[in-house]
Amino acid sequence: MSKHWTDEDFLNHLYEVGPGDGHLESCLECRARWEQWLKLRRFTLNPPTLDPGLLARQREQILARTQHGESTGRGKRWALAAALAGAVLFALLARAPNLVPSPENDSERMLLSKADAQLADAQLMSDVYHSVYQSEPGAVEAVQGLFEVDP
Amino acid sequence: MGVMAELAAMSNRGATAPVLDFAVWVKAEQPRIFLLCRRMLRDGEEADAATQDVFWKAFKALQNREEGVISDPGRWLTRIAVNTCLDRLRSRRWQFWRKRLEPSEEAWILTMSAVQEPNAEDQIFAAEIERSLAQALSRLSDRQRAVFTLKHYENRTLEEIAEILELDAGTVKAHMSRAVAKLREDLKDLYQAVAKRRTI
Ligand SMILES: [Zn+2]
Repeated sequence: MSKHWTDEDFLNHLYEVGPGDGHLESCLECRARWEQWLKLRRFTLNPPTLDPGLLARQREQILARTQHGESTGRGKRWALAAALAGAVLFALLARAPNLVPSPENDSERMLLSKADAQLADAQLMSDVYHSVYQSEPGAVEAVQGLFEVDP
Repeated sequence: MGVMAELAAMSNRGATAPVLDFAVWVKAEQPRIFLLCRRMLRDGEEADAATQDVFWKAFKALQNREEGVISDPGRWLTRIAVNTCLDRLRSRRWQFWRKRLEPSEEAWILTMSAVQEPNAEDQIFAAEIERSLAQALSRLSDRQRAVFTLKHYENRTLEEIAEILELDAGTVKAHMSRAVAKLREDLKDLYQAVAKRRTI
């Protein structure tokens, strides 16, 4: 039989880095000491009490974020898409020479400058739309491999 | 299948009761994930933000999924948490602040209201253990800390840790060996202190 384990051996065994000599299987004395080490370890795992207020606030923020993403996110997406389509249509109509006569008075000129401004708005909205809805959190991609698909 | 239905199909690690909805699941896993983030990031505020990110990423991942169930949601969430923390640790901004923070300066979010409770001394002792181990963990590299944290606090096998961190078992064992070598004296002190307390 190999020699009794030292505290260092028990410590290594606790973290799966040694000694790997199978001594525990053959020595009742060391096995009893191992049980003690396991009890000590469990005691070190007694988790510190966390501030319940902090956890509640944190949970509120987590759930608010998921609800925002689910409900208002979808509505906002439609609103942006509708505004975008309207602005682009208006700008196209205003710029097409065959469809819209050249400005002959101040009110028509004002209308066209308004159309230019809306075209700029449309571009801005388009940029915002893409940056908001096409970005995915990095770790989401990393976790795709974890999904186990049922046959 | 919606998020709630997906979650209903899951079962907790080691538990038989199904998780009924996302809010319930968050409440059940939140303390563990927050502690894991705090141990890895060594900062309460960063851990708070990271925990929120973890659940958001989990929610998004569940929403974007098409088929199937996650066989071990606890491990899956742990993996998101570890990746989130490692990302934060890698970021330049965080490295900058990290250098300025000492564990002793950090605002540990430990309730002292436990002093009023019957097991107040145990609570204080647990907080002391937490703090001294956190200080010891600050000497480890990010990877070593991730490996050690998952082993010590979550009682994961090296094989499981290898899966979570997407490393081979040999690399994980090497990280663990170095971590234990660095922490050897602290761990001996820790276990001696616990043994002494248990005999009081
Ligand atoms: Zn022996």
